[in-house]
Amino acid sequence: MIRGIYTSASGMILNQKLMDLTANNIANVSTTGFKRDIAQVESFRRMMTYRIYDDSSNSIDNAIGYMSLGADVSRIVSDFSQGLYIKTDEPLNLAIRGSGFFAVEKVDPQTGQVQVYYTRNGAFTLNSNGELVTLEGFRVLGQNGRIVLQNQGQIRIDEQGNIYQDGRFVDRLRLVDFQDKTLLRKIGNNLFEADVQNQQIAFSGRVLQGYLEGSNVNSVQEMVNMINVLRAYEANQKAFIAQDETLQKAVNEIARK
Amino acid sequence: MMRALYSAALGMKAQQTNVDIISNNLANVNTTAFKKDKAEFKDLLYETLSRADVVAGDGKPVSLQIGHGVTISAITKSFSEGNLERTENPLDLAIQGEGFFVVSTPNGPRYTRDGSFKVSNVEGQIKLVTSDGYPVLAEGDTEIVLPETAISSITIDETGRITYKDAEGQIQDSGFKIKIVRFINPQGLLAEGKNLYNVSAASGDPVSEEETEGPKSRILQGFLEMSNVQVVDEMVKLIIAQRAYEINSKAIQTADDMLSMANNLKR
Repeated sequence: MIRGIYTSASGMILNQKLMDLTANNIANVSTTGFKRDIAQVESFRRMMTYRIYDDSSNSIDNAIGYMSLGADVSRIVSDFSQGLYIKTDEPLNLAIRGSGFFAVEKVDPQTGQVQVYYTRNGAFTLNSNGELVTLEGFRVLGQNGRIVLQNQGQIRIDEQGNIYQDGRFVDRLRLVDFQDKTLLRKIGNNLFEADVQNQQIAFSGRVLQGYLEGSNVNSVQEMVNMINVLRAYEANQKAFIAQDETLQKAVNEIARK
Repeated sequence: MMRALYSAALGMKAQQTNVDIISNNLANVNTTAFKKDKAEFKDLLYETLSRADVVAGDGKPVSLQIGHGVTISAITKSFSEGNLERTENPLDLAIQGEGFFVVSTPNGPRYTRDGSFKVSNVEGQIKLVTSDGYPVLAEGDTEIVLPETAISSITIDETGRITYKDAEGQIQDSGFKIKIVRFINPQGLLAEGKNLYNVSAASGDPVSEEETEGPKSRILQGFLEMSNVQVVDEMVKLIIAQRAYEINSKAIQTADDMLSMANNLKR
């Protein structure tokens, strides 16, 4: 049938994916440390079109030209720009200013395997053993592994991530940064997973105690995205219908004469 | 159907819970020793449309992942101290520090920072009780029984020791010292209403301040701890939550419009 129908349909499917992405960004407008996703779109590979069975043409050059039939999402990357800082005054709420992540460990309850993940969500608390954990219960890592705090005493965390309790040095937060942040993968729970190939570099940011980093989703921008997506979808639908009508004419009217 | 519909619906649901929490904070703006709650959000699973493939030469370095919306991961209580209000009532106590009073309820011991205590005649004995009539416990987990003459001249010092003047005007030690406990993780406490908290596995067991080393709380007689809810903060959070709810509903509308267009392809 007409190739254009498939091209228009692929445009609609693409815009549906973009809408899914935008909706997820919007849903996470209040998620601490959330980094919005952006999609990059590419057209399908271009292809050369030739005339065939053309008797009149003696030329070897019977090419018509290039066509590209559709588009799809090629990459979805997170935008690691800074979210806004929200002052909470809670001693165990931490935000990172600049680039970098907190390292947390997740223990698989079945196998007991330990996996390290990275997060910008610094809403931490203590568990019943006095260990510094995320609100999901994943342990926050220091230079010497788990960070154990006493149940009493003022906790102070400086800009370098050194933790002091009643003036006594406890540990230093394990703060990491990556060469190529586009290789980080989101796994939900505000966590990122890093590939082994992804080279870690020295942490250059600063830790702010008593603050949380809000989501970097900008609702105005997402609203504009959403309108764009909707209109592009609509245009593809119109193109689809136009082609369908052409086809209808071909099928129902040509034979009548 | 479209994932966007579900993601945006989850966004609305999470914001609804957020508004519920904010309203409860605002409703308790005058509750003695109330501690405000805060919703924490987390993103949900990611669906991998196409896996990252780092084979040299060909292949994409980044996987295509679309998220599934949002949920509330935790509701944390802020145990920051509320303002102290001077009441001049000798049986009003405020705690400065991280401690809790222990009260005895029919269901077992419960913990509170609400120190608006009263005396009440329980089975012929004058006891120190909460506004709901639950006896306040002293060190040794005993209920606090006072002689009738003590009520007008009761003095409670910073450590919780109760003294009073007898008929001759002599200061007498009642022998009771109000028990103050702490928790490793007070955020893990279960709020039961009536300003009472119960222990949970997450909070850890109560630790008596008297029996352990470390900083001690101070008891202030004639003061009450107010709620730590800041109306301005809550109003700002309410506006943000409302707008977030609104933009999620817009996303649902848009997704719905798109679906209706897809339906109109066949006419």
